[in-house]
Amino acid sequence: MKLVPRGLRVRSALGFAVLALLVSAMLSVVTYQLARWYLIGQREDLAVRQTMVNAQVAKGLVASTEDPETLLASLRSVSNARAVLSVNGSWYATVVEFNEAVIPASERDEVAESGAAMQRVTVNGAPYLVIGVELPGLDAVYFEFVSLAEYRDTMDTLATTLFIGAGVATLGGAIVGWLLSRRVLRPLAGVADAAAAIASGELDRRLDGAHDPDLQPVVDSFNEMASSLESRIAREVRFTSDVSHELRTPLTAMLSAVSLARRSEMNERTKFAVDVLGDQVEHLRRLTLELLEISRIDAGVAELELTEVDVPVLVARVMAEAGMPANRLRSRLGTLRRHPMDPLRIERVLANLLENAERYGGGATAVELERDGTTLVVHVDDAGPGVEPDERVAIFGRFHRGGSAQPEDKPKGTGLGLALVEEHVRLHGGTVTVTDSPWGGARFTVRLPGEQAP
Amino acid sequence: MTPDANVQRMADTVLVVEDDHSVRALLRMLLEDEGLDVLAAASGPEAVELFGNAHVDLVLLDIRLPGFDGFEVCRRIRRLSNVPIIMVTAQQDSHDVVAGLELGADDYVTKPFNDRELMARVRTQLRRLQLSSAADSDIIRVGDLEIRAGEGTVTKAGERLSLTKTEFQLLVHLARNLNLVLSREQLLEHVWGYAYHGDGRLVDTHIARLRAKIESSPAQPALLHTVRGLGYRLSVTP
Repeated sequence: MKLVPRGLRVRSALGFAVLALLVSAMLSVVTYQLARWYLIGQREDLAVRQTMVNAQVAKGLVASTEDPETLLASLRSVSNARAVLSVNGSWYATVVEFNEAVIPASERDEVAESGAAMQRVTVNGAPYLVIGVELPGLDAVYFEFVSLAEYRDTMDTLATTLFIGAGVATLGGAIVGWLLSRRVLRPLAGVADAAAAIASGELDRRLDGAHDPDLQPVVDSFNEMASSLESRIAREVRFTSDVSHELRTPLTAMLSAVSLARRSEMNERTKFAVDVLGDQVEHLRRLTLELLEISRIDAGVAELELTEVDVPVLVARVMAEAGMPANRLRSRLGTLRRHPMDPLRIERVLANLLENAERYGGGATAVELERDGTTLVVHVDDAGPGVEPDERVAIFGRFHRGGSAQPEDKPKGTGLGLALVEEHVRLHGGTVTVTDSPWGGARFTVRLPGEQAP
Repeated sequence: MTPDANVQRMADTVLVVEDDHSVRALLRMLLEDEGLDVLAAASGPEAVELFGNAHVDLVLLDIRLPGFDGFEVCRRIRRLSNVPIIMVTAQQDSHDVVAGLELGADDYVTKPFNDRELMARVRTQLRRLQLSSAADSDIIRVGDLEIRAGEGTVTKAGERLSLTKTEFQLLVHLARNLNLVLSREQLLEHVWGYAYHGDGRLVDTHIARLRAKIESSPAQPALLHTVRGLGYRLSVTP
């Protein structure tokens, strides 16, 4: 089981947080220990000095009086210390709670052994320092309790402060890690953008040089990859274009030769042969022209010649040429008849759609024009069997062979007609789709935007 | 074609400029079958030389040629003559078309063409030649222009202008429909004989060339107006 989170940014933030936590915890512990060591040392020094002074006073008092009550009263009047005095085996305490019972035996032993001792005790839950000193020349020991409550409060405050500090540092680390990873990932976002642009056909997109020398190799190899991709595609496109170009002259010669041959007297067999030749050459001519047309679009050299066109007029002209009765045109454009387009290309689009309907759909039954906002919508309906849903994208592919057979009584299709429709429409920033016609059959829908996408 | 037609008038001569040997030979035969005389050139320099030494009524000009290309041939011929020129181009949407038209070509065909297409373009150009040479004595005046359709001449402020046949035909058609807007399609049909699929750029480039000749300042036309989205109109009022 993996507990490491997957996202680079989350990992980065967590890493920085852990690092910050470790560093701040270590610093806190050290700070706390140092502060304690220093503060307690100071406190002890002070306590010892004070105890020494008080012990001298107590020694004087013990020497000057025999009466314990007087001694105790004097001791109270001299200082308000919590003192315990042991004289000749008798104990005197200035404050009732601080008596011989709360002085640990080890403290008493150590004083007896080395003349002075210091130890920490807890009385009624409060911390105290108990210091014991032998009074020289007398059989007496002076003990004093010094409160450490103030010191403990200071240390508690310090600990709380350090604890909060460590928490803030950890959170800060996480934020820094998050932001830093964004900075680190930003060049990566640039790479992603460029890759997406290339994928969408902007083949000349490159990355700018990185400011960071560590990123330069990535930028270089990305650009290298894009260049090689671009030149490979360009080579392929040029090849198609060159092949088509080179075919033009022999095709022209063949077309002319067939025309010439047809003008002569021929017997049945020769006439049949020349007719086959003529049909095939004509097919090859259309194929070559369409390959050239599509390779120019692929190469990105095709330019859109946009003009405002009277749409119903253009559509009616194409329909008339295809031998379609004018009453099958239904325009719902009203008086907004004009639309920006490259008329030659849209004529090709419509002619190809009508031809497609003729070939596979039993002829176009209607051409409808309408508007969707500023978009021009053209529907071409046919009376054929329609297009299966899983064929509706593939049908626009190049040399796509659908399920329906090529009709034998019509000239062979090139297999590029619908692909060209899609390419020409795409050049306009529009779309072409196929659905079911409300009257049965297939409905091809071309949508051309009113304002051209930049 | 009947033998009488040849007796009535001399056959028109077409100069075929094409570097491929068999295409050249086939075009010669096809055009001769139409009753036309054919001269053939295989390179740019040969075409220009032939054109200088013989009477030519129409030039059929391929772009890719040895020596210098079809554009250069077009440029050099235009310096000498307003003879109709049909360019043979690779692709309808290529720059070749516009470049050729701007150099003064009258029309173009896309290669590979079939003979019906080619003959339709050739006949349109030659018929226009005959139409404009037919007796037509009216004189049309538009501003300081004086158009003699019968003679095929135009003067601007008394000075004779040199127009190609297509430019002349375009001007006459616009002048006969003075103050009326003519669409690109109408002009294509009347001047170039395209019923369908005419290329609007044919009209636009020829209008631009015509303006350069008849307008005092072509950038602000005073006679030949563009009516945005509709077409063109010849009139003295703006």
